[in-house]
Amino acid sequence: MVRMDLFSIVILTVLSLSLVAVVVAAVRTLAALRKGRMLSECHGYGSEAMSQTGVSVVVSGARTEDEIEQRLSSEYWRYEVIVVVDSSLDAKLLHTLCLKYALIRVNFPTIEELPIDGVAMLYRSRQRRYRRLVVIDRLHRSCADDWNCGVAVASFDRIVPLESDRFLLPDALPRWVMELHEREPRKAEVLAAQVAPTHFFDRRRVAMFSRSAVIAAGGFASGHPRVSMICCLHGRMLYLPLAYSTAYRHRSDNPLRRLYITTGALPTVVLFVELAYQNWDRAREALMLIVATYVTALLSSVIALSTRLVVRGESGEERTKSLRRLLRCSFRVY
Amino acid sequence: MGDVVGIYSLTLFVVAVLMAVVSMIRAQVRRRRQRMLLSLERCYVSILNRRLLEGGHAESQFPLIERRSSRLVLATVVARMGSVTYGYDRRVLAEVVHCYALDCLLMEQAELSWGMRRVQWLHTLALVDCSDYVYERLTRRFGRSHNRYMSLCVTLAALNHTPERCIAILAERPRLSTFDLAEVLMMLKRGLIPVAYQPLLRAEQTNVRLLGLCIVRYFGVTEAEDDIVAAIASEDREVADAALFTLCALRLRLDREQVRAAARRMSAGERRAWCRHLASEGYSAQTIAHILPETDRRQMCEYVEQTVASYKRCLTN
Repeated sequence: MVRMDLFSIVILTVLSLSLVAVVVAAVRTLAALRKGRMLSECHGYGSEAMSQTGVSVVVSGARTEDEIEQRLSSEYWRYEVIVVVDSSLDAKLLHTLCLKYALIRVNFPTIEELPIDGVAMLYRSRQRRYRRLVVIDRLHRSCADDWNCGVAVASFDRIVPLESDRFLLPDALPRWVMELHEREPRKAEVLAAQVAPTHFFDRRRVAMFSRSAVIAAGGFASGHPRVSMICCLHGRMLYLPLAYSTAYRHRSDNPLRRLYITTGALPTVVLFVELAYQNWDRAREALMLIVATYVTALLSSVIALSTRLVVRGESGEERTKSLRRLLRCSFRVY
Repeated sequence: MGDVVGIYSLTLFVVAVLMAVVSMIRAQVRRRRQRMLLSLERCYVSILNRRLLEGGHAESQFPLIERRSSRLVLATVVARMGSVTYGYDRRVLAEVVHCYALDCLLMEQAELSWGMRRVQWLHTLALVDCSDYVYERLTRRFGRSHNRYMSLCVTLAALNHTPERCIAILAERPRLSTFDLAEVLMMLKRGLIPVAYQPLLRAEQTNVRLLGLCIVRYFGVTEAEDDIVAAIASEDREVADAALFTLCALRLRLDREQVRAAARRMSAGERRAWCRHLASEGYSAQTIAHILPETDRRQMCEYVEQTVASYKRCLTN
């Protein structure tokens, strides 16, 4: 039948490694959170003196004016929001934006550094209070094309590309800039961060890129533009959510959950095989492996959820509710 | 093998249950404690305010001060108030620190904790007036720390303790990041360090010159124009870049040989970035074209004109 010793060793190794990875991720997240709290108490953090680095936030495919309003509300000093919309799909939105923000048509600077096409118009606001807003009207093909277009008109040397469902957390820009200046800022081409609400090993990322590095790499490519750009540039990962997503994600998207389901499925198959051959000892061992998989998943889920509770920083009734949910979810295992 | 799997499962199960229970209990205890500390903090703030207003003559006592946690709250309140109160007699806060030995307490707390929590306590200690003994202990224990935040806290404490040595202290530090400069600038804003930008701009050390440029930019000192222009010609690239940025931030004249030389030193990409920055700061296409190197001027002219035209906005509203 099955060589149970080798099989058990492989399963146990996979489980232990996954658990170690969860603990490491939790420790990193908590350390980053503690650092953020310490920094937020410093008076220099986010002050005007820190604002030498400008950041351009490029948003592809904004759908409502509220989304744009929310993105304009960062407290960082030197930043701009470049919104790419397609008036052929939603002419009403562009019209509303023009009225609300007093937008006027301005020149689109031709740039040979990146191949840009399909741009109809570029708009900036006449009102000083909306000087941070830039609206580009272009035919929507893909996020990558929109972001490349944003890179072309960006005033600042750091670019944060976002999809329409992703929003930056209030403290994100000063924190990013601070982390950038912590080590050689010229050498850091990309600083990636997590997206909240997050489970560990979530592949969704937000990142701040150096404009010149993006141009040198030939701009964003279609497919997974952000991930491929993060992979090809030199930089580092911040283990803290700096953005959140409003897109619904089913728990089956969690890679850790998939790992545990796969790991648990193998001993289950073995269990039925051994039961069919009436090999009770081996069936008992397979059953033990199923239990081990379940318990590992339970513990990793407790660690992940309690870390998420700390990151959220809830208090009072909210926290009690979350704790109840923690216990309930722990037994459901994601 | 079955036993090993059994022990593994049992251990993990016990750990999971313990973690869930501890997490719940901790949350409850922390909530109760935070509520108590918050009310205590409010009480201390009002007492300190009264003392500051009456010049230290108010007789009210700090409740529950015999507790260590209460004294830590008081230390945090003193540090925060010291950094946001302007024009009051700072000796009142210094008296409170010495009366309850808050500096010793903060030092002990920093030694007991680790990581970012230690940095947090050290930062609080850097903001209060510490005694000579505690200052020496601080520099001995954390002065050579490789953690950049700890060394920044020691520098801040040194600036707070001996402000007259500020140039020497900053010169000793390896490299000041933008955040470090902002923190030092905040001390300066509170009146702890004198705002004398000239010796800073004319110093030889990078850190000191960067701080000088930061002061000039932050306080809008247009009188420092000559010193800024001299800094642009500096061989230190970091200082030269900061000086260029300062010159633009103060909207000063760009048509100078030093600025042209700096433009020649830049790579093509950096030059484009700089042109965009100048356009967004409101400089005209003609001014920008004048400072570009002649070899590049024809090629860049169209780009500059388009960029400037794109940034021209009606700012009358």
